[in-house]
Amino acid sequence: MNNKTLVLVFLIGGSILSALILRNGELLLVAMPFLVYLIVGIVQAPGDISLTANRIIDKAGVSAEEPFETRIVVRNQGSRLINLAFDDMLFPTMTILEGKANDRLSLPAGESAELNYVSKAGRGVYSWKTIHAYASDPFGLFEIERHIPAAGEIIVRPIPIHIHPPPLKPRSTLHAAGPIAARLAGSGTDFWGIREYRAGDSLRRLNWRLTARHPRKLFTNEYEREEIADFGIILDARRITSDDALEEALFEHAVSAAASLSENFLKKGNRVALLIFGESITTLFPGYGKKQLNSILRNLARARLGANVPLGHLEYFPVQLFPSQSQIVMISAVEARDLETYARLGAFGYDVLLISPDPVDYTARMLPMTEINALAVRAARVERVILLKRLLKMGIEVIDWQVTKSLDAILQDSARRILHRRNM
Amino acid sequence: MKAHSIVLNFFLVTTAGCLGIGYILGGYWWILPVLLAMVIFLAPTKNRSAFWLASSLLVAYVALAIIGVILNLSVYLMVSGCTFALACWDLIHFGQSLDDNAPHGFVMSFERYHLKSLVTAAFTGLLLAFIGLSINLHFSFGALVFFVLVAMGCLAYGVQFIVKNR
Repeated sequence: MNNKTLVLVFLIGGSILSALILRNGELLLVAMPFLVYLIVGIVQAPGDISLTANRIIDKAGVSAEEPFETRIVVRNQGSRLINLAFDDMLFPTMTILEGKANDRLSLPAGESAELNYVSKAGRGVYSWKTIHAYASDPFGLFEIERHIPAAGEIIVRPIPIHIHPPPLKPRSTLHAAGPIAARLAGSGTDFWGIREYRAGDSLRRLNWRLTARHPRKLFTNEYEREEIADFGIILDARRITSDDALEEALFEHAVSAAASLSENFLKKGNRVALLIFGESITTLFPGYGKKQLNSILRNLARARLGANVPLGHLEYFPVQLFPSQSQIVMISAVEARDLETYARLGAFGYDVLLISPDPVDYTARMLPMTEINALAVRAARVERVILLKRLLKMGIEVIDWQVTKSLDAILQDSARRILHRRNM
Repeated sequence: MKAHSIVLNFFLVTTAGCLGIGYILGGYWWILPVLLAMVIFLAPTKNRSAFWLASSLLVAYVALAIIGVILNLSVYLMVSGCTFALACWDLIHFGQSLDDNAPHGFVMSFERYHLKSLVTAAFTGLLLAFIGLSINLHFSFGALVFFVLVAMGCLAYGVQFIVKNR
């Protein structure tokens, strides 16, 4: 019994009761229209709902805040439903841009109605199992509620950051042709060295100048071999501070960076593994190609911030996840107690590159510029610089990323600096 | 303007007219500021959460009609007023549930069906009430209570019967 029926029953009851108390038969007649209204409602109330629904989402996956269209076709396989309402569940992070996620209509037997809306959503995996349907008499007095199966899913990927392939040069490469200079002689484009000619060497690669200087001897140019490499991406999904808004904003940037880097590495043919480290831990073993990229994006879409567990747990992960000497790209805001783990990762033979979204800079932009705030920000900045310098001393390459600035420019610049330092 | 809005406006005027004329004919002019206050309270029912406001006004209206019957004002006008007030209350709720819906075929068919059912219910109710007024039967209080209880029992049984047999 809904509120409308309750009001009617109250009015009918009130009129009858006042007629009895005042012993006035005419008062009974005041209740008559309400009584007839109720009876008409009862007579026309639906018996049951026999509906089928089909949900069609125009895209399997979109980027965050990119619009997508949902179409739900509802078919009435039973008798005529005079007053049918259906509404689709909207997640809190979804916004409707066009159309409506609910409708009320009269649906004859065998006919179909369509619910159509365009919406956008924040990063995540959204799945629906049913659509909510209510059928009632024309006055909406007696309602039947059903969940009609209408399954559908959409993956909303992180917002992509446009970055060029970072010129990273891991110490170890896999023996398959790729884009990374392998520090070995082979078939590439960069000059590597000269050796004496061996039978089978291409004549195109002969070094004629040296050959001319040494009669009866031939010399061949060698080029640096270009191979693919193993990349491991670790996304830190731990809450470091109690400022939820700050954490969420920085985490979104970190997720976008992880997605864009993975896409870049995989497009160049490299092997990429993923670890999302937080209260719940997600691992994705090394893999290549589009399938791996889809898996990574799906996992990143699901990634959520969790409790602050010690980073030291990383040491217990299987070696297969990040093969020895692979390049690890860690995306973390970093805190003092993590230093030991970074040192251990370095000691295990990994090339660790830390991309650290700067929480101090982000907070400073949000705070009103008072004298106390300025001092606090300055102190926090000093603390962070010391922390990052200690990491640099341990041999960890650090990129201090102020998220308001383009990651691409910072990454290219830092990668070049790292290469230059290594070559010195 | 949608069909139900036109019908609603017509019923609103009729509702206010029935109660106003009934009371004024009896010499109770104080009904005019009361009606004015009710109209002022009715204005916010354009909002979505106005169901309880409209319901309270309906309850107030029925209470005034009952007082009118007790004051020996025209029962025909009081009962007609209650019927049209019921129709207004229903249409306010209906308008809210239809709000923002694109007027495609199935929605328009729903609106037509609703209006047809409402008009049928309202006029059947009025007709039965007028028939009841023209028939002059005298019962003792005990018999009246007995008939009311029997009628309520029949209604409850009828509801259960209809619901079970669907």
